[in-house]
Amino acid sequence: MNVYRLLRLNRKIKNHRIKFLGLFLLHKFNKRYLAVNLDPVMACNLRCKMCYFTDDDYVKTLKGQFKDKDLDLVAKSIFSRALKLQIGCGTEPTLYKNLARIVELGKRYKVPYISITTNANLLTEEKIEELLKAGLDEFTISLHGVTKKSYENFMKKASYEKFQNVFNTFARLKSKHRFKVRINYTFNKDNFYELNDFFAHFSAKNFDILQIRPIQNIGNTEYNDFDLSTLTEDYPKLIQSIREACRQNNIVLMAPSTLAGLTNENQSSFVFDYTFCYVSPNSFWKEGFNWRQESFNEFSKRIGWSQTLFSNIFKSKAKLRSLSNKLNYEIEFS
Amino acid sequence: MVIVTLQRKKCIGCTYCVEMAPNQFQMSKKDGKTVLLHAEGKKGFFTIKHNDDTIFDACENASKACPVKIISVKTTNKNNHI
Repeated sequence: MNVYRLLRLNRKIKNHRIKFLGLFLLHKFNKRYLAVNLDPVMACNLRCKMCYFTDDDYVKTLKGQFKDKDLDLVAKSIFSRALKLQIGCGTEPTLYKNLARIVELGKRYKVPYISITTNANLLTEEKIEELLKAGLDEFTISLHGVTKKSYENFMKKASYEKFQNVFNTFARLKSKHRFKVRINYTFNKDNFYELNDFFAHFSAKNFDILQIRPIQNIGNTEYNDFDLSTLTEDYPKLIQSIREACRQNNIVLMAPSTLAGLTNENQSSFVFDYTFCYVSPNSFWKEGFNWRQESFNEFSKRIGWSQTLFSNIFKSKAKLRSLSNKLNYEIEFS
Repeated sequence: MVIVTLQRKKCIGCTYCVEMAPNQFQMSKKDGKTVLLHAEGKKGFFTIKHNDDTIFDACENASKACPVKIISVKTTNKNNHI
């Protein structure tokens, strides 16, 4: 399954009523439509300057990791309705020792697309192969600097050499296994212009998807200059050259085409609260969802989920606007 | 006296303890887990007993930051409790 085609479709459909009608039908016909985002352990090995893991007080509030038996219950409860399983959402999943087991669980419940988001610094060829053999479809790797100096400045405690090693290992393993590599690059005004040299440092043959996203305020982070106004003029030209390189190398580019509308809400996010299912050792998506004892189908029946989806078809965007909005920009696909 | 105990087997290697108490903890290059320096090990539990009460705050911070709660800190000094 190609989730990026689905994302494109979601972008193309502008009418939220059609989206809710689609969700309603998928729900009624017992089809998969949830994006399960699972953090197996509440920790990270790095202190990236744009991340809340640089906030010592916040870090002290993050506790716990999943026990095997609880993961089994999570899988039983919700994986059969998951279209995508994203392992690692706000923490570093490679700190979890039984990571391959989560991928296996996903495959056991036939989740069509399983991806891991990681900073890649703890990955080895052996671990990568173990995950691929378990059925992993995608590695999403975080990279917030093109040069060694910038990378290690923004991703404190990370090693550029380790990252490059893992990146080259992906290239080698692509001949043996079928999987995708996605790079997530968060830019600010201090690491933006080095994107000009991106393909000189990272071979286009080694990855499939490139997401370039503007910095967002996600908490009390060490780097807290969120003003991108000085880039507004140069951004379209630079992103256009990256778009062209991506097109030539068959890479999917996910990036805003302009910085002009960053403060606007994301128009594609109206269905977010109904499809984005966040699971961690401390929280499980919806209040009152007793996931240890009931399945998503039982829960949704109990709370009248399908009626909610149906009624949303008739609600105006203004009425739905109070829902969560995780992106501060519109993604343009190339 | 400050008594610090580490249940090392359960360490996930996040390095918080090393950041909070660098004089008491160090990461092992062998297995990527933390090492409680100068500790005695017994059945997977590593313990130090330190007469210097000034290490208490750092160790307490390490204990509070540990996401898998495998560090415990006790003191015989009644002014310090966790």
